[in-house]
Amino acid sequence: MSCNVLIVDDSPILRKAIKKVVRLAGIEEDRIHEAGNGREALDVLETVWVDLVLLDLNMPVMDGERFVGELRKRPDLDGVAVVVVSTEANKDRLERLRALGVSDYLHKPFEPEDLCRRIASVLGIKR
Amino acid sequence: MNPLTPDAIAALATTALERTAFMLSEQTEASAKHLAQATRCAVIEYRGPSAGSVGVRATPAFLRALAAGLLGIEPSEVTDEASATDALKELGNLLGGSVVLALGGPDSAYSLGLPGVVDPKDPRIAGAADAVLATLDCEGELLQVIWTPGASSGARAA
Repeated sequence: MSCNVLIVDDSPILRKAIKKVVRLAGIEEDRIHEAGNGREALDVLETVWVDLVLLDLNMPVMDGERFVGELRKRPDLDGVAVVVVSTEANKDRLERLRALGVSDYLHKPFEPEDLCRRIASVLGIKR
Repeated sequence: MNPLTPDAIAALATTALERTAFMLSEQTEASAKHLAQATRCAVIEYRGPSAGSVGVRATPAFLRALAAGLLGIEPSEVTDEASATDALKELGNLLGGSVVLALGGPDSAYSLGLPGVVDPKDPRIAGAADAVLATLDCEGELLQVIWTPGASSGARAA
């Protein structure tokens, strides 16, 4: 599968755990990228085309909501899909994110199979 | 009356551990001796219709097992302290999220802060008068979850 996925989470251990799920969804190791906050994620996007961002919300430096806001200011990154993977359940915040075009939302703790399914659905991967 | 009971908090923690790290756990009573070994602590605060905090207190061996479960490796392969600390903070994050979802429901107006490592003497761990505690035995190791409704941010997280 030739899609690139960017995992954005301030927890290194959770990035590794999510990476395992992304591999299970059929994405090759060298097509999975990581960032520890929204600012780092924007830096990654300067150098790599990414099809899907798996995004935590509560992060230092730049949180997930600000990241999506910055992302949507960039017409060249218009095709980047975003799935939020977060413990956050604030209704107003989630509505703002949907208005910014976030494709899906998965609440932590999640079932790995559930995340796998969402990734496959967004990327159009047949499982 | 608190909307969350010790049983409810234990159930949230059990679910989080099973889903995230494939760890089995059951609610237990904590002896003072056993609890004294649970020296690794983290706290996450929340705000919204009410404010409060969720603390987690665990033994080092539990954290190695948690990190191993998250990574899909054996606990003996978890050799760096950073992984265990990261697992501790992430567990605080997960349980904080579960608690606010239980408090606020699907139309939640709660927001979470960032989890931070704290000392066992932190009042959000040592237990305020209105704190609700749930203690779990996870394959022989201890995890305690401390929900403190109405906690302030007077004590800074490390």
